[in-house]
Amino acid sequence: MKKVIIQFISFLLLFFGMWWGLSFIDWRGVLKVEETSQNIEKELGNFVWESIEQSTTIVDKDEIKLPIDSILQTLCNRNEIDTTTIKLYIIKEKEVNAFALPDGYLILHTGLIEAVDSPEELCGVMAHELAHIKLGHCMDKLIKEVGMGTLAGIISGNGNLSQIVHLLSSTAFSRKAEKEADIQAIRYLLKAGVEAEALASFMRKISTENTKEDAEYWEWFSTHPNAASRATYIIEEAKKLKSAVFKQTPLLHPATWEKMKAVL
Amino acid sequence: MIHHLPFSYRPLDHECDKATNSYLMSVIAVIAGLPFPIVNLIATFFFYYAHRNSTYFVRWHCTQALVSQFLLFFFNSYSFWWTIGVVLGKAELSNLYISYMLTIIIVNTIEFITTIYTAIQVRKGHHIEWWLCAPISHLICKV
Repeated sequence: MKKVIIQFISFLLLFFGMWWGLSFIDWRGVLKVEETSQNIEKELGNFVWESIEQSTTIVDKDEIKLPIDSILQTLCNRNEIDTTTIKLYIIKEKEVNAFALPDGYLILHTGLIEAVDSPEELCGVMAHELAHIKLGHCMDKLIKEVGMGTLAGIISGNGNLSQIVHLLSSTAFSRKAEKEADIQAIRYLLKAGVEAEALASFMRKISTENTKEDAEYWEWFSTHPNAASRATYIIEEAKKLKSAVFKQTPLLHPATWEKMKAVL
Repeated sequence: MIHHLPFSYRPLDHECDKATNSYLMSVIAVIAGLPFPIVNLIATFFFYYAHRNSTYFVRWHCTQALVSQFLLFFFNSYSFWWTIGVVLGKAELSNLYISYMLTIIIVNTIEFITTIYTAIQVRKGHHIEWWLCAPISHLICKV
Protein backbone atom coordinates (compact mmCIF):
# COMPACT_ATOMS: atom_id res chain seq x y z
CA MET A 1 0.00 0.00 0.00
CA LYS A 2 2.84 2.36 0.84
CA LYS A 3 4.43 1.59 -2.53
CA VAL A 4 1.15 2.47 -4.29
CA ILE A 5 0.85 5.80 -2.48
CA ILE A 6 4.46 6.77 -3.24
CA GLN A 7 4.13 5.80 -6.90
CA PHE A 8 0.79 7.61 -7.19
CA ILE A 9 2.23 10.82 -5.75
CA SER A 10 5.23 10.45 -8.07
CA PHE A 11 2.85 10.06 -11.03
CA LEU A 12 0.99 13.24 -10.08
CA LEU A 13 4.25 15.13 -9.60
CA LEU A 14 5.53 13.92 -12.97
CA PHE A 15 2.28 14.85 -14.74
CA PHE A 16 1.94 18.32 -13.23
CA GLY A 17 5.68 18.86 -13.43
CA MET A 18 5.60 18.15 -17.17
CA TRP A 19 2.62 20.49 -17.61
CA TRP A 20 4.34 23.22 -15.58
CA GLY A 21 7.60 22.79 -17.51
CA LEU A 22 5.88 22.92 -20.89
CA SER A 23 3.94 26.03 -19.90
CA PHE A 24 7.18 28.04 -19.87
CA ILE A 25 7.40 27.78 -23.65
CA ASP A 26 5.46 30.42 -25.60
CA TRP A 27 3.33 27.94 -27.56
CA ARG A 28 1.05 30.68 -28.90
CA GLY A 29 4.11 32.24 -30.54
CA VAL A 30 5.53 28.93 -31.75
CA LEU A 31 2.20 27.84 -33.25
CA LYS A 32 1.46 31.40 -34.52
CA VAL A 33 -1.98 31.41 -32.91
CA GLU A 34 -2.45 35.20 -33.11
CA GLU A 35 -1.43 35.29 -36.75
CA THR A 36 -3.75 32.40 -37.61
CA SER A 37 -6.76 33.91 -35.84
CA GLN A 38 -6.10 37.28 -37.51
CA ASN A 39 -5.94 35.51 -40.87
CA ILE A 40 -9.20 33.69 -40.16
CA GLU A 41 -10.85 36.97 -39.19
CA LYS A 42 -9.54 38.67 -42.34
CA GLU A 43 -10.66 35.82 -44.61
CA LEU A 44 -14.06 35.68 -42.95
CA GLY A 45 -14.59 39.44 -43.15
CA ASN A 46 -13.73 39.41 -46.86
CA PHE A 47 -15.92 36.37 -47.52
CA VAL A 48 -18.94 37.86 -45.78
CA TRP A 49 -18.46 41.28 -47.40
CA GLU A 50 -18.16 39.73 -50.87
CA SER A 51 -21.39 37.86 -50.25
CA ILE A 52 -23.19 41.05 -49.17
CA GLU A 53 -21.66 43.06 -52.04
CA GLN A 54 -23.09 40.66 -54.61
CA SER A 55 -26.64 41.09 -53.34
CA THR A 56 -26.76 44.85 -52.62
CA THR A 57 -26.03 48.20 -54.23
CA ILE A 58 -23.03 50.07 -52.85
CA VAL A 59 -23.47 53.83 -52.56
CA ASP A 60 -20.44 55.58 -54.01
CA LYS A 61 -21.76 59.12 -54.49
CA ASP A 62 -19.25 61.57 -53.05
CA GLU A 63 -22.04 63.76 -51.63
CA ILE A 64 -22.97 60.86 -49.34
CA LYS A 65 -19.67 59.02 -48.90
CA LEU A 66 -17.34 61.93 -48.13
CA PRO A 67 -19.31 63.52 -45.27
CA ILE A 68 -19.82 60.16 -43.58
CA ASP A 69 -16.18 59.30 -44.14
CA SER A 70 -15.16 62.59 -42.51
CA ILE A 71 -17.29 61.73 -39.45
CA LEU A 72 -15.50 58.39 -39.24
CA GLN A 73 -12.11 60.09 -39.67
CA THR A 74 -12.90 62.48 -36.77
CA LEU A 75 -14.02 59.57 -34.59
CA CYS A 76 -10.92 57.52 -35.37
CA ASN A 77 -8.34 60.33 -35.25
CA ARG A 78 -9.55 61.66 -31.89
CA ASN A 79 -9.47 58.12 -30.48
CA GLU A 80 -6.13 57.12 -32.02
CA ILE A 81 -7.70 54.40 -34.14
CA ASP A 82 -5.91 53.59 -37.37
CA THR A 83 -8.44 54.52 -40.05
CA THR A 84 -6.92 52.01 -42.48
CA THR A 85 -8.21 49.21 -40.23
CA ILE A 86 -11.84 50.32 -40.69
CA LYS A 87 -13.58 49.67 -44.00
CA LEU A 88 -16.71 51.82 -44.24
CA TYR A 89 -19.38 50.93 -46.79
CA ILE A 90 -22.81 52.44 -47.36
CA ILE A 91 -25.37 50.14 -48.95
CA LYS A 92 -28.70 51.07 -50.47
CA GLU A 93 -31.21 49.42 -48.15
CA LYS A 94 -34.50 50.72 -46.70
CA GLU A 95 -33.99 49.05 -43.32
CA VAL A 96 -32.70 51.27 -40.55
CA ASN A 97 -29.61 49.22 -39.78
CA ALA A 98 -25.87 49.33 -39.29
CA PHE A 99 -23.61 46.44 -38.46
CA ALA A 100 -20.01 45.40 -38.09
CA LEU A 101 -18.23 42.49 -39.75
CA PRO A 102 -14.94 40.81 -38.83
CA ASP A 103 -11.77 42.52 -39.99
CA GLY A 104 -13.09 46.03 -39.47
CA TYR A 105 -15.99 46.27 -41.90
CA LEU A 106 -18.53 48.92 -40.86
CA ILE A 107 -21.71 48.80 -42.91
CA LEU A 108 -24.38 51.50 -42.90
CA HIS A 109 -27.76 51.26 -44.59
CA THR A 110 -29.10 54.33 -46.40
CA GLY A 111 -32.28 53.75 -44.37
CA LEU A 112 -30.34 54.54 -41.21
CA ILE A 113 -28.76 57.67 -42.67
CA GLU A 114 -32.24 58.90 -43.66
CA ALA A 115 -33.56 58.13 -40.18
CA VAL A 116 -30.96 60.10 -38.19
CA ASP A 117 -31.65 63.79 -37.54
CA SER A 118 -28.09 65.05 -37.13
CA PRO A 119 -24.48 64.13 -37.90
CA GLU A 120 -24.06 63.59 -34.13
CA GLU A 121 -26.73 60.89 -34.08
CA LEU A 122 -25.06 59.14 -37.01
CA CYS A 123 -21.72 59.49 -35.24
CA GLY A 124 -23.28 57.85 -32.18
CA VAL A 125 -24.37 54.80 -34.16
CA MET A 126 -20.98 54.58 -35.91
CA ALA A 127 -19.19 54.88 -32.56
CA HIS A 128 -21.27 51.99 -31.22
CA GLU A 129 -20.48 49.74 -34.19
CA LEU A 130 -16.82 50.84 -34.10
CA ALA A 131 -16.73 49.75 -30.47
CA HIS A 132 -18.00 46.28 -31.46
CA ILE A 133 -15.15 46.06 -34.00
CA LYS A 134 -12.43 47.26 -31.65
CA LEU A 135 -13.62 45.07 -28.75
CA GLY A 136 -13.57 41.98 -31.01
CA HIS A 137 -17.27 41.22 -30.47
CA CYS A 138 -17.89 40.06 -34.06
CA MET A 139 -15.49 37.11 -33.91
CA ASP A 140 -16.50 36.29 -30.32
CA LYS A 141 -20.14 36.14 -31.38
CA LEU A 142 -19.42 33.98 -34.41
CA ILE A 143 -17.24 31.55 -32.46
CA LYS A 144 -19.86 31.23 -29.72
CA GLU A 145 -22.80 30.79 -32.10
CA VAL A 146 -21.22 28.78 -34.84
CA GLY A 147 -17.97 27.35 -33.49
CA MET A 148 -14.43 27.66 -34.75
CA GLY A 149 -14.64 24.44 -36.70
CA THR A 150 -17.58 25.65 -38.78
CA LEU A 151 -15.88 29.00 -39.41
CA ALA A 152 -12.77 27.26 -40.69
CA GLY A 153 -15.02 25.13 -42.90
CA ILE A 154 -16.75 28.17 -44.34
CA ILE A 155 -13.41 29.76 -45.20
CA SER A 156 -12.38 26.59 -46.99
CA GLY A 157 -15.63 26.60 -48.93
CA ASN A 158 -17.66 24.04 -47.04
CA GLY A 159 -20.35 25.79 -45.10
CA ASN A 160 -23.37 27.99 -45.00
CA LEU A 161 -22.18 31.57 -45.48
CA SER A 162 -25.72 32.98 -45.46
CA GLN A 163 -26.06 31.81 -41.84
CA ILE A 164 -23.02 33.95 -40.95
CA VAL A 165 -24.30 36.98 -42.88
CA HIS A 166 -27.64 36.75 -41.08
CA LEU A 167 -25.95 36.27 -37.70
CA LEU A 168 -23.80 39.38 -38.11
CA SER A 169 -26.33 41.70 -39.74
CA SER A 170 -29.58 40.74 -38.07
CA THR A 171 -29.03 39.35 -34.60
CA ALA A 172 -28.03 41.07 -31.38
CA PHE A 173 -24.79 40.64 -29.51
CA SER A 174 -25.04 39.49 -25.91
CA ARG A 175 -26.33 41.98 -23.37
CA LYS A 176 -22.84 42.19 -21.89
CA ALA A 177 -21.30 42.92 -25.32
CA GLU A 178 -23.92 45.59 -26.07
CA LYS A 179 -23.26 47.32 -22.75
CA GLU A 180 -19.49 47.22 -23.34
CA ALA A 181 -20.01 48.68 -26.82
CA ASP A 182 -22.32 51.41 -25.44
CA ILE A 183 -19.76 52.47 -22.83
CA GLN A 184 -16.87 52.38 -25.30
CA ALA A 185 -18.98 54.36 -27.79
CA ILE A 186 -19.53 57.03 -25.11
CA ARG A 187 -15.74 57.29 -24.66
CA TYR A 188 -15.23 57.57 -28.43
CA LEU A 189 -17.92 60.23 -28.75
CA LEU A 190 -16.67 62.36 -25.85
CA LYS A 191 -13.10 62.30 -27.20
CA ALA A 192 -14.44 63.30 -30.61
CA GLY A 193 -16.24 66.26 -29.02
CA VAL A 194 -19.73 64.80 -29.45
CA GLU A 195 -22.30 64.66 -26.66
CA ALA A 196 -23.37 61.11 -25.77
CA GLU A 197 -26.93 62.46 -25.84
CA ALA A 198 -26.72 61.95 -29.61
CA LEU A 199 -26.56 58.15 -29.23
CA ALA A 200 -29.16 58.20 -26.45
CA SER A 201 -31.60 60.24 -28.53
CA PHE A 202 -31.31 57.79 -31.41
CA MET A 203 -31.93 54.88 -28.99
CA ARG A 204 -35.09 56.67 -27.77
CA LYS A 205 -36.17 57.32 -31.32
CA ILE A 206 -35.88 53.70 -32.42
CA SER A 207 -37.72 52.49 -29.33
CA THR A 208 -40.73 54.68 -30.25
CA GLU A 209 -40.55 54.23 -34.04
CA ASN A 210 -40.54 50.47 -33.64
CA THR A 211 -44.17 50.53 -32.55
CA LYS A 212 -45.31 52.24 -35.75
CA GLU A 213 -46.55 50.80 -39.02
CA ASP A 214 -43.17 50.77 -40.74
CA ALA A 215 -41.57 49.07 -37.74
CA GLU A 216 -40.35 46.23 -39.98
CA TYR A 217 -37.69 48.59 -41.37
CA TRP A 218 -36.32 49.48 -37.94
CA GLU A 219 -33.99 46.53 -37.88
CA TRP A 220 -31.43 48.30 -35.70
CA PHE A 221 -34.04 48.04 -32.97
CA SER A 222 -34.30 44.26 -33.25
CA THR A 223 -30.52 43.96 -33.11
CA HIS A 224 -30.32 46.41 -30.19
CA PRO A 225 -32.99 45.42 -27.70
CA ASN A 226 -34.03 47.47 -24.65
CA ALA A 227 -33.19 50.68 -26.49
CA ALA A 228 -35.19 52.93 -24.16
CA SER A 229 -33.47 51.70 -20.99
CA ARG A 230 -30.09 51.82 -22.70
CA ALA A 231 -30.67 55.48 -23.57
CA THR A 232 -31.07 56.13 -19.86
CA TYR A 233 -27.85 54.43 -18.77
CA ILE A 234 -25.94 55.98 -21.70
CA ILE A 235 -26.77 59.43 -20.29
CA GLU A 236 -25.81 58.32 -16.76
CA GLU A 237 -22.50 56.81 -17.90
CA ALA A 238 -21.69 59.88 -20.00
CA LYS A 239 -22.05 62.10 -16.92
CA LYS A 240 -19.42 59.95 -15.15
CA LEU A 241 -17.01 59.83 -18.10
CA LYS A 242 -17.28 63.40 -19.31
CA SER A 243 -14.27 65.43 -18.37
CA ALA A 244 -14.35 69.04 -17.21
CA VAL A 245 -12.49 70.12 -20.35
CA PHE A 246 -15.00 68.54 -22.76
CA LYS A 247 -15.62 70.84 -25.68
CA GLN A 248 -18.31 70.10 -28.20
CA THR A 249 -17.06 70.35 -31.77
CA PRO A 250 -19.27 70.32 -34.85
CA LEU A 251 -18.81 67.29 -37.10
CA LEU A 252 -20.17 68.67 -40.37
CA HIS A 253 -21.26 71.98 -41.78
CA PRO A 254 -25.08 72.05 -41.76
CA ALA A 255 -25.14 72.71 -45.50
CA THR A 256 -23.03 69.59 -46.18
CA TRP A 257 -25.39 67.53 -44.03
CA GLU A 258 -28.51 68.91 -45.73
CA LYS A 259 -27.01 68.30 -49.17
CA MET A 260 -26.19 64.70 -48.26
CA LYS A 261 -29.71 64.07 -46.98
CA ALA A 262 -31.15 65.60 -50.13
CA VAL A 263 -29.06 63.37 -52.40
CA LEU A 264 -30.22 60.28 -50.46
CA MET B 1 8.39 1.59 -16.18
CA ILE B 2 7.37 -1.89 -17.38
CA HIS B 3 8.81 -5.08 -15.97
CA HIS B 4 8.99 -8.58 -17.37
CA LEU B 5 8.36 -10.81 -14.37
CA PRO B 6 7.60 -14.46 -13.92
CA PHE B 7 3.99 -15.28 -13.17
CA SER B 8 2.87 -17.71 -10.50
CA TYR B 9 2.06 -20.24 -13.22
CA ARG B 10 2.43 -20.65 -16.97
CA PRO B 11 -0.80 -19.41 -18.61
CA LEU B 12 -2.53 -21.41 -21.28
CA ASP B 13 -3.09 -20.17 -24.81
CA HIS B 14 -6.75 -19.18 -24.34
CA GLU B 15 -5.81 -17.23 -21.20
CA CYS B 16 -3.17 -15.28 -23.12
CA ASP B 17 -5.75 -14.52 -25.80
CA LYS B 18 -8.28 -13.09 -23.33
CA ALA B 19 -5.64 -11.16 -21.41
CA THR B 20 -4.45 -9.56 -24.66
CA ASN B 21 -7.99 -8.55 -25.55
CA SER B 22 -8.31 -6.64 -22.30
CA TYR B 23 -5.49 -4.36 -23.45
CA LEU B 24 -7.04 -4.00 -26.89
CA MET B 25 -10.30 -2.91 -25.25
CA SER B 26 -8.43 -0.05 -23.62
CA VAL B 27 -7.42 1.35 -27.00
CA ILE B 28 -10.74 0.68 -28.71
CA ALA B 29 -11.69 4.34 -28.84
CA VAL B 30 -8.52 5.14 -30.72
CA ILE B 31 -9.21 2.31 -33.16
CA ALA B 32 -12.81 3.45 -33.60
CA GLY B 33 -11.69 7.07 -34.04
CA LEU B 34 -13.78 8.40 -31.16
CA PRO B 35 -12.31 11.25 -29.07
CA PHE B 36 -14.34 10.45 -25.95
CA PRO B 37 -12.25 9.35 -22.96
CA ILE B 38 -15.16 7.51 -21.36
CA VAL B 39 -15.44 5.03 -24.24
CA ASN B 40 -12.09 3.40 -23.36
CA LEU B 41 -12.99 3.16 -19.70
CA ILE B 42 -16.44 1.69 -20.35
CA ALA B 43 -15.12 -0.87 -22.84
CA THR B 44 -12.33 -1.94 -20.49
CA PHE B 45 -14.71 -2.09 -17.53
CA PHE B 46 -17.21 -4.31 -19.35
CA PHE B 47 -14.41 -6.63 -20.44
CA TYR B 48 -13.12 -6.78 -16.86
CA TYR B 49 -16.66 -7.48 -15.58
CA ALA B 50 -17.22 -10.19 -18.16
CA HIS B 51 -14.04 -11.97 -17.05
CA ARG B 52 -14.27 -11.38 -13.31
CA ASN B 53 -14.61 -15.12 -12.73
CA SER B 54 -11.89 -16.14 -15.15
CA THR B 55 -8.41 -17.43 -14.29
CA TYR B 56 -5.96 -15.37 -12.24
CA PHE B 57 -3.80 -14.45 -15.25
CA VAL B 58 -6.79 -13.09 -17.19
CA ARG B 59 -8.28 -11.29 -14.16
CA TRP B 60 -4.97 -9.72 -13.27
CA HIS B 61 -4.32 -8.31 -16.71
CA CYS B 62 -7.94 -7.11 -17.08
CA THR B 63 -7.43 -5.31 -13.76
CA GLN B 64 -4.17 -3.72 -14.89
CA ALA B 65 -5.79 -2.52 -18.13
CA LEU B 66 -8.76 -1.09 -16.21
CA VAL B 67 -6.53 0.65 -13.63
CA SER B 68 -4.46 2.31 -16.39
CA GLN B 69 -7.64 3.61 -18.04
CA PHE B 70 -9.08 4.80 -14.77
CA LEU B 71 -5.93 6.74 -13.87
CA LEU B 72 -5.93 8.60 -17.18
CA PHE B 73 -9.70 9.07 -17.38
CA PHE B 74 -9.91 12.20 -15.23
CA PHE B 75 -7.00 13.92 -16.99
CA ASN B 76 -8.39 13.02 -20.43
CA SER B 77 -11.90 14.15 -19.52
CA TYR B 78 -10.58 17.49 -18.32
CA SER B 79 -8.75 17.95 -21.62
CA PHE B 80 -11.89 16.99 -23.57
CA TRP B 81 -14.17 19.52 -21.84
CA TRP B 82 -11.50 22.22 -21.92
CA THR B 83 -11.20 21.67 -25.70
CA ILE B 84 -14.98 21.92 -26.10
CA GLY B 85 -14.81 25.23 -24.22
CA VAL B 86 -12.08 26.53 -26.55
CA VAL B 87 -13.95 25.44 -29.69
CA LEU B 88 -17.15 27.13 -28.46
CA GLY B 89 -15.29 30.30 -27.52
CA LYS B 90 -15.94 30.00 -23.78
CA ALA B 91 -12.26 29.42 -23.02
CA GLU B 92 -9.18 31.00 -24.51
CA LEU B 93 -6.58 29.12 -26.54
CA SER B 94 -4.01 29.96 -23.89
CA ASN B 95 -0.45 28.79 -23.34
CA LEU B 96 -1.66 26.83 -20.31
CA TYR B 97 -4.21 24.98 -22.45
CA ILE B 98 -1.70 24.15 -25.17
CA SER B 99 0.87 22.87 -22.66
CA TYR B 100 -1.84 20.76 -20.93
CA MET B 101 -2.85 19.23 -24.26
CA LEU B 102 0.78 18.45 -25.07
CA THR B 103 1.18 16.78 -21.68
CA ILE B 104 -1.97 14.72 -22.31
CA ILE B 105 -0.74 13.73 -25.77
CA ILE B 106 2.64 12.65 -24.38
CA VAL B 107 1.10 10.65 -21.53
CA ASN B 108 -1.48 8.98 -23.76
CA THR B 109 1.14 8.17 -26.39
CA ILE B 110 3.30 6.48 -23.76
CA GLU B 111 0.24 4.62 -22.50
CA PHE B 112 -0.74 3.56 -26.03
CA ILE B 113 2.72 2.26 -26.91
CA THR B 114 2.95 0.47 -23.56
CA THR B 115 -0.49 -1.08 -24.08
CA ILE B 116 0.34 -2.39 -27.55
CA TYR B 117 3.71 -3.76 -26.38
CA THR B 118 2.10 -5.42 -23.38
CA ALA B 119 -0.68 -6.91 -25.53
CA ILE B 120 1.93 -8.50 -27.81
CA GLN B 121 4.01 -9.83 -24.90
CA VAL B 122 1.00 -11.14 -22.99
CA ARG B 123 -0.16 -12.98 -26.13
CA LYS B 124 3.17 -14.80 -26.02
CA GLY B 125 2.51 -15.76 -22.43
CA HIS B 126 4.84 -13.26 -20.78
CA HIS B 127 3.77 -11.45 -17.65
CA ILE B 128 4.25 -7.67 -17.80
CA GLU B 129 3.85 -5.36 -14.82
CA TRP B 130 3.45 -1.62 -15.20
CA TRP B 131 4.75 1.01 -12.82
CA LEU B 132 1.93 2.18 -10.51
CA CYS B 133 -0.77 0.06 -12.22
CA ALA B 134 0.74 -3.30 -11.20
CA PRO B 135 0.86 -2.63 -7.41
CA ILE B 136 -2.76 -1.40 -7.55
CA SER B 137 -3.74 -4.49 -9.56
CA HIS B 138 -2.05 -6.75 -6.95
CA LEU B 139 -4.12 -5.05 -4.24
CA ILE B 140 -7.40 -5.49 -6.13
CA CYS B 141 -6.89 -8.87 -7.73
CA LYS B 142 -6.22 -11.78 -5.41
CA VAL B 143 -5.29 -15.33 -6.42
